[in-house]
Amino acid sequence: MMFVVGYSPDLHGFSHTPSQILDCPIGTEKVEPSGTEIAQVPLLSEIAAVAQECCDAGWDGYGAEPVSLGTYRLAHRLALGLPDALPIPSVGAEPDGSLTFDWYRDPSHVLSLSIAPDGRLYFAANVGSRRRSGSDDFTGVLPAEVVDLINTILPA
Amino acid sequence: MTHDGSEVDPSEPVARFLFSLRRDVRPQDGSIRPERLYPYKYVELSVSVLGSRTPEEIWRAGDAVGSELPEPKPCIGRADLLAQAFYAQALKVVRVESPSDPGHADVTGWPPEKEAQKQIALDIIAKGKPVFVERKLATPTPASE
Repeated sequence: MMFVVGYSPDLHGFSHTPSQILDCPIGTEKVEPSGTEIAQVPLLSEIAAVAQECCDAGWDGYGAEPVSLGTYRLAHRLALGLPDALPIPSVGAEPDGSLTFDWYRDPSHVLSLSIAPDGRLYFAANVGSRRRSGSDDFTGVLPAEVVDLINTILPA
Repeated sequence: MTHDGSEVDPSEPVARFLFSLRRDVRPQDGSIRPERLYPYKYVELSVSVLGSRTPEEIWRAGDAVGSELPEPKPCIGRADLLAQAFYAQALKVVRVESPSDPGHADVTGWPPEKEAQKQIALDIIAKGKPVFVERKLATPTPASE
């Protein structure tokens, strides 16, 4: 099994699909996946799919910034750093080029986490009647507060 | 951006045009993803006041937004909510002239901090309950043999 993570300004391609090879002359990385990466294939594939869909300027019709290779790599690293017991988030993209990890039960129980192009994490959460939001530098793992909020929103 | 228009009445329905079902709408319950309500790039959010326009007129305005996409495509739906949902978050909804959308308005007054914008978007969805209105695009009928 081989993962290819590649990006080319011409091809605008991201791929993390084992069976798919991208002919990307710029920034192609072919890596043997670790055990953690294999376990996270669904999430990593979703990150790649969203980045692929949103890698052109104006992708939302309202002037959004493109998701860059750098942001994609940050999101990839964030995904690999998620605690094993945490539910798998859904992935989205934001108009400033950030990628979003989203843990959702209902509109009153949700945490939205952005990984921004500048390497900062921004989060906001509704936990019943409680509201929590903040930001932090991304160090490779989720802040403990964010993990606690997710476990409250989506208890095991 | 200059806002020389009037404020939209809180009871008026407004819409945000959508172009990707997978990216914009949660499959669990059809709710709108909060990223679709984040202001950018001038700390403003573009919306369209529905007013008394026909569905065709509204979708035409959505298609005008879709024509700005890197690969132009028709609008697939919209998120409808009352302007009051924004006023409840201490924002304003101000009409702005637009050649492609006679109902164009901007939601202004957002805080500059990203985490605060994210929180406001979550609250708009929780309390304003935007509704996903899917556009029924006509499927081409196959040519008769």
